[in-house]
Amino acid sequence: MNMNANEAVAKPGLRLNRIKLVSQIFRILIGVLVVALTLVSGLICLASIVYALNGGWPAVGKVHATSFSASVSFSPHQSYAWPFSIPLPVFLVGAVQLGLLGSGLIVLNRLFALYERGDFFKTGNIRCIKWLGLIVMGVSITQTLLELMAHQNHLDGSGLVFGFLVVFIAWIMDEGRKIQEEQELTV
Amino acid sequence: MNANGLSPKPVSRMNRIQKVSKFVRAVLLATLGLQVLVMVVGLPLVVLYALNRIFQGAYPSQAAFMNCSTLLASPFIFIVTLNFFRLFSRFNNGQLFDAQTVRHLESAGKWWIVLGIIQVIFQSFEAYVFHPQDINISGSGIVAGLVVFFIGWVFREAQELQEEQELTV
Repeated sequence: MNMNANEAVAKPGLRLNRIKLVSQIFRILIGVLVVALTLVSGLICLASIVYALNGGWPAVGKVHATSFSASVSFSPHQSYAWPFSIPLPVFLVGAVQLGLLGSGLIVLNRLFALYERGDFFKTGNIRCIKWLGLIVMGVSITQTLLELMAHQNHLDGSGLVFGFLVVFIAWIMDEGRKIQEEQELTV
Repeated sequence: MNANGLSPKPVSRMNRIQKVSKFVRAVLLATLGLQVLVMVVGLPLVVLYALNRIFQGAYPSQAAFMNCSTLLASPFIFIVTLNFFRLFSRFNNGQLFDAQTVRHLESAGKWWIVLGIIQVIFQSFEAYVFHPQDINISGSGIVAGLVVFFIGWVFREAQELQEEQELTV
């Protein structure tokens, strides 16, 4: 009997620890991704400045740095090779998409931080999930715009559907939470 | 309070959820029907087209490959849609986040990951065969599946946690 009581106390702790561990792993992965993205962006910026200041690549020893090659891809049919010559509308929509992806990572990090704290059905979590859905919809719209700019008619609307589903599930969670709160108040 | 033990405000909320879920469920049902049609009609058409091209000795085109890969992935798209259909059916019945509902969400996530992996394999193969210089592979399906699966998993864990805590008290 005593053993069962101990097990009952230990099990929720185990579950909570498991959720915390998984959330921590996801947060570390997000952190690594953010650092890698920042490093790559920084390197590209630095390379662009060096290229612009020298009017081309400086010679480094015997190896001429013109062998450097890089390409930036905003969507499947919007890829640009070094030296970049990106049209302004594509650059702007691409920047919006990058901003959305960055904010998506921040929101995801916040959501995992809340899970790590042991908050599951609170307003903050639901707001994060709703924002994630909206960001996915935004990314899908910018992707579609970029593909249209590349005169492609093979468009993919799965991101929009996925974003809508996430927003809808978050809305149902919110409504469920409110129903529970109102029922508790009524009782 | 009404017969269900719910006061008017929660009842109106529940009605709203059920109304919207009914609409989404109808859309998903139509999508399922369309997917079955595509699988039943499309598969023989693609096989016939491929056989025709083989007999003509023509080199396989990228468009044909894309059609074939979409058709081969369609059963997995069907399973993901089916799981979402079941999920919204439960929302429609007023069973918001019980064990079975959460299981459907988790299952949808799992199958979405499988679909994402299959799409990556097809994209890699397509890139290798048709554009070895320009490989463009998107893992968005895997990420989407992971997010759905993770949300479902946290729901299940939180539910079981709550049940166990209630038992402890």
